[in-house]
Amino acid sequence: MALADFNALRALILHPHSILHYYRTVTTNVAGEFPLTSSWFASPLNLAPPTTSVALDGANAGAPRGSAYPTNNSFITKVNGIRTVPTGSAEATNNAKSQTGLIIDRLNHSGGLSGNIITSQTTNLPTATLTRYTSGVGVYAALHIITSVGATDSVATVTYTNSAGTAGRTGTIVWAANTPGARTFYPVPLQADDLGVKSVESVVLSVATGAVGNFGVVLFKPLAFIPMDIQGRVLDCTQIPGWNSTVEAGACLEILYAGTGNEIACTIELASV
Amino acid sequence: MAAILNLSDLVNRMTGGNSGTPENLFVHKIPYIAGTIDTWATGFLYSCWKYDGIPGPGATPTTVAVPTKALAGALPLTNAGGGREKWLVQACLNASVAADCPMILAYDRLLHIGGLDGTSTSAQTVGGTLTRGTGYVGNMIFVEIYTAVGTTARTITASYTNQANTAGRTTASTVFGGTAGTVGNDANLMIPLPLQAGDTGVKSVESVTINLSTGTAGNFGVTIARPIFWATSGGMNTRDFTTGPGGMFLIEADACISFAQFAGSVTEASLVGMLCTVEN
Repeated sequence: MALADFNALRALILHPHSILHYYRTVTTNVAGEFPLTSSWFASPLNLAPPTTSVALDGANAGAPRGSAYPTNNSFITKVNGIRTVPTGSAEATNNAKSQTGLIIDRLNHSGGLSGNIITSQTTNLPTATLTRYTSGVGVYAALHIITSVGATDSVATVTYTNSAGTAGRTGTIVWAANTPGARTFYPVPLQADDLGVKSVESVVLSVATGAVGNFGVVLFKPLAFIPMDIQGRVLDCTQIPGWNSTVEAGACLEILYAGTGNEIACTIELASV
Repeated sequence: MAAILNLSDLVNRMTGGNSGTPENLFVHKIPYIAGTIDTWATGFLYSCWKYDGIPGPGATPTTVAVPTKALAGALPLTNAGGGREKWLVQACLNASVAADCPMILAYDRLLHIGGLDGTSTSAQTVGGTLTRGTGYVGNMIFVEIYTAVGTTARTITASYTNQANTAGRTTASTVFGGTAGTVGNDANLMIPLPLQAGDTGVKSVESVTINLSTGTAGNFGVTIARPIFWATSGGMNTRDFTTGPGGMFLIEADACISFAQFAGSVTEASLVGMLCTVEN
């Protein structure tokens, strides 16, 4: 589905096939909090947390809504008005915050893992079979916190199968200092020279965190990177690194962010060849 | 290798035509090392090499080596195929709070060594041979502190061969060691060594010499780096290399891409971004 030339791209920008709206209000993030923030379960949708790992698609209640969802593979041609509303009142202070957004395809998710179990956890794992980006190349795993776990530092080791089909690969995440709170999203590093994840088989914590909480595994495909600020901007593809990522038909889009803020509102335009 | 012809050729390749094989590389680094948060001091450059996140943490180097994309710590990427070259065409890097990290460096880590001694006043051998950045122009020398050296500030110089293959060049004397958290002494600090006047690059570093003992051996090393780009955090900071400063950057085969963060305050920040490549 390559675009033949610039005129083809221009045509897509002028005539998007899908215009989708994404809106969430989230609990104010902590300044400088290091994991990404997921808005998936936030207001106003207040989606029920998952249990069994389930593949997601554009029909999911959490996916952005608007015009017809793309039935073909697409590109992100424009993002309108993506913004957050940071805490604090001084615009100068607010503008100092990076407010970085990342559009992802949320491929599958699970829940039901415990912050207090230090043996290998396989509850609701392995992750559901990929229905998009099925090679696993460019697919990452993350631990998403549904209900806060405890404050005791711990290291989570995630065991996965890489895009080459090799099982037993591992990545580790450190939960330290800040209690992993609800909505935090921890991408899992790949083992050296791996290019992606096909499935996650288990998670083991080094130390009990002190609270059961509830966390799960998400497989996601990073699509595009959205620099944003409080004013809200219209960004075309020249300002969107990753605009040329293939958004596969049936994508379940979500916006993660890093920085402080309590609202995400944006329109994503997609167009397919 | 033929240049990318025009904007249409670029668009075609970025969307997968003509074997463009686009690859968009996700970055998320957090300033923790094995569960312990790093400590920043305002105004200094900190290496993300050992930081948690994506890419995963690298290890403290020991003997001199040429790191590649296969090494833990390197950004995962695919080498260009079919005799093509891989080019960086677009990127964005942002810190979680711009004021805490107003500037970020992305670079190819061409060579590194660790295990050097902050008490030794002998010329400490670096050596090694570059396999990337072999045009030598633009290559930089950094001292990286892996474990703090002593609290007595000294100076350090490197003896190197420049881009024109002239040996025996010497970097400007640079502060090394001193009170913890100062310009010459902090774990994960990257200290650039200014080249001798008139030089524009580095072929090799033969040795580094401290004028006097800092008082503590610590563990420091030397890194030869080829800067890819500097990013400023906050706001609309997408870099378009097709028209912007620096032009498209060649990502050499087996490049070991890593990052460094400039501390704008004592509050550490994470780093998020994406690098977009295309093949020609």
